[in-house]
Amino acid sequence: MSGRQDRLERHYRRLLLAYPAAYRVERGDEIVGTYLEAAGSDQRLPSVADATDVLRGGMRQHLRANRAAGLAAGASVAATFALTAAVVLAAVWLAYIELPPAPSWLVTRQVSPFWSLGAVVWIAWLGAGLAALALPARLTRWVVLAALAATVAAEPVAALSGYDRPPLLVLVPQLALGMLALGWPTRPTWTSRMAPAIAGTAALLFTVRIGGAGHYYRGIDSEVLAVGAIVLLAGSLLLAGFSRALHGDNRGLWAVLLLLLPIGLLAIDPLAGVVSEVTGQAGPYGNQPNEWPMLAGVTVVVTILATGAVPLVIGLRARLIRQRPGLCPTCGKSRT
Amino acid sequence: MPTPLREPTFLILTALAPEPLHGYAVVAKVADLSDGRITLRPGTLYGALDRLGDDGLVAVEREEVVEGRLRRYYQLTDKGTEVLYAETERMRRNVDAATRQMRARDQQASSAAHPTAGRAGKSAARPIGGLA
Repeated sequence: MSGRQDRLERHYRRLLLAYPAAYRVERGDEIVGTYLEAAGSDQRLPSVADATDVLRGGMRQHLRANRAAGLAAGASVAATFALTAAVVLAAVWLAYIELPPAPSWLVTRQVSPFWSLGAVVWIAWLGAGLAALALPARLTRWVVLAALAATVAAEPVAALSGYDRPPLLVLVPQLALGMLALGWPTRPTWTSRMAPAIAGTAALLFTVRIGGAGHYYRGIDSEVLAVGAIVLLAGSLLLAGFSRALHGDNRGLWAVLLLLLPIGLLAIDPLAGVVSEVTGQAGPYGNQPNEWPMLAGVTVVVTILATGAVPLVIGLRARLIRQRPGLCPTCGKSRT
Repeated sequence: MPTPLREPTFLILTALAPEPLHGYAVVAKVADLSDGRITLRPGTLYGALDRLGDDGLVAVEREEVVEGRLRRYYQLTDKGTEVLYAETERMRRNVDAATRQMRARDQQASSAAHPTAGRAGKSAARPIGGLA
């Protein structure tokens, strides 16, 4: 074996550390051998595509080792739901808040002709919906990343420039949806590709037809977000049921689990209202807006619970399957 | 294994149909079967082979060491053969249905363009043998 091949092999073996140790012992030589056979005669380093492939394969094996291989398929389903919801909300905020003339007493510094920096964010998300329809998956993920960056940047840019921005109640769930949308599938079905653009266009036309508010108003925002949470939860549960009944797989259930975070964040205001009622911190009429510390506290709790639910379910499921050796390590179904 | 199979999974099973193959040979065969459209990378290939193994569709046939490199040969199991037959049959029925629909569409277009020929029962349908 030449010095060049030795070096290349060392690089591949280093990348292989992404795989679980037991799997490396069993399959490491075979995988590295296949990469070396496929490598060009003058190749000195693993290509970027190979490195990504090894890292992705390693992550998949970690999930498989924990009996949660269906999570990867569920992430693709969740990404479709998340991107569709993000585009629909962007269309609603753009047509309902940003386009109509804002009341002058409310505006501090307008991003003309729109109300706030939110317009840039929402247009970026509409672009992500179009990218999903027209561009390959890799480019779609870049456009989603750009929309995500615009959402993150809205707060600091507003603080530095003095322009208005949408409230955090609106921006934070959009971030959670965007993070999930980054898992956009490599080979999306046509239904997945069309869903964000069609749902976004329908939302835009419907909102333009009913007219706009012209400013972010807490009561209205909360209602739109809560409706979004209910539709997202109902839609993903429905798909999980169909997917289980028709194909016998759990990808829909994994998707629901992953979507719990954005669903919870969309419903923060009503959830904070419930907590206020239960803890007796609601105003004398029980309908006063929740205060910032309450909203922040509920957001932290929802984030911890929703993100913790994923490893919790993986751990419980792995224990259950280990106790019943007749179950398939990939799907968890009985082999008999 | 959820059906319909995804295209790379279908092509891996197809590649293994005639004889057992080692990893790199599967990559080369899948590229050949798909006219170069699908190039499986090893991480993706072995992930797919693990899933197919878990589902009992493929199994390791033998191991060899060639020029100091380990090669495992994979073969289609009886269950894998059944799934491949069923999937091929499903796809063939879809192709037949699509071919019939497109033939009907071409015949209608031809009748509209040449009403006399259409009444005389002469079909000027464009041959679409490539789809059959």
